Amino acid sequence: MNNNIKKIIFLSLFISIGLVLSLVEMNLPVFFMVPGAKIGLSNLLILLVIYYYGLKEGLITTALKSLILLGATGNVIAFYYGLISGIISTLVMYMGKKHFTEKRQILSIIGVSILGAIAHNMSQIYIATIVLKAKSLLLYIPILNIISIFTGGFIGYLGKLVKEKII
Amino acid sequence: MTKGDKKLILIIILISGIVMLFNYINLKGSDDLTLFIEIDGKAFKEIELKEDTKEILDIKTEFGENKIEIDGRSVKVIEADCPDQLDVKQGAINKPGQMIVCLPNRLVLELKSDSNASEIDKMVR
Repeated sequence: MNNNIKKIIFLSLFISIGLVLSLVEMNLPVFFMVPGAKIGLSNLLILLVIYYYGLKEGLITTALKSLILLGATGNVIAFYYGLISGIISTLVMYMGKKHFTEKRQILSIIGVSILGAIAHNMSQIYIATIVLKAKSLLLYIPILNIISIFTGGFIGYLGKLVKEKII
Repeated sequence: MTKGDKKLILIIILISGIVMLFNYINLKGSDDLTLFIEIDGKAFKEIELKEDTKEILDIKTEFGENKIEIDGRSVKVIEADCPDQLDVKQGAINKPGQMIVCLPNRLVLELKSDSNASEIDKMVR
């Protein structure tokens, strides 16, 4: 099968699965002290796209997923936050993969995923702080980072499993 | 999981722990508790909370509607028209520094005590 067509099909599948995971996630409230903290299941798909393809495909997946999610839920605020944080997190994960996994073997896919989770959460808090002009939101950063270790690590571990056993 | 991963995790925990300690020390408040309500980044209302304060406030703006209940020194959102209902699910807040945020309705409910009421309240442009 033509490689390009294969890529389009795979990316479409990834985006669809990511979309479904995002919707499922909305019904699992997981916040220990911070409202809005999520497991970030859809980031698994972004992580996989970055590993199987590259930065360009990762960014496209992020953007399309956010866009379609907007169409599915109608939540415009979540779209803006999700799009910007997603793009930043995708960039961070790609650079993390390039510099810490390929050039030098310091991190594994788990570390890359954690970096992405931290980048995602921190960018959301910064945006919220600026939009709502509430500097006190910054106080949430430390606890969010600790949660990111678990969520990012979990997603990274799932990514490792998918790479080893499924594709 | 490589050694690098574990070091990364340790660094994050360490830095976060130090920052949290720092915040906790700075935020120990006095007895005065004030509820600051902000809509779209602009101050809307300030309410002094005392033991016997009991009020239900209906905040209706162009962004949405939130109903908040003040019971003594605690505040919670009992009703909101936002799609995710995160503010309602959060429950009550009762300590200075805590806040409830409704992003879709651009509403910020923040508790401040006298000692830090003037420190943190700066506009970021």
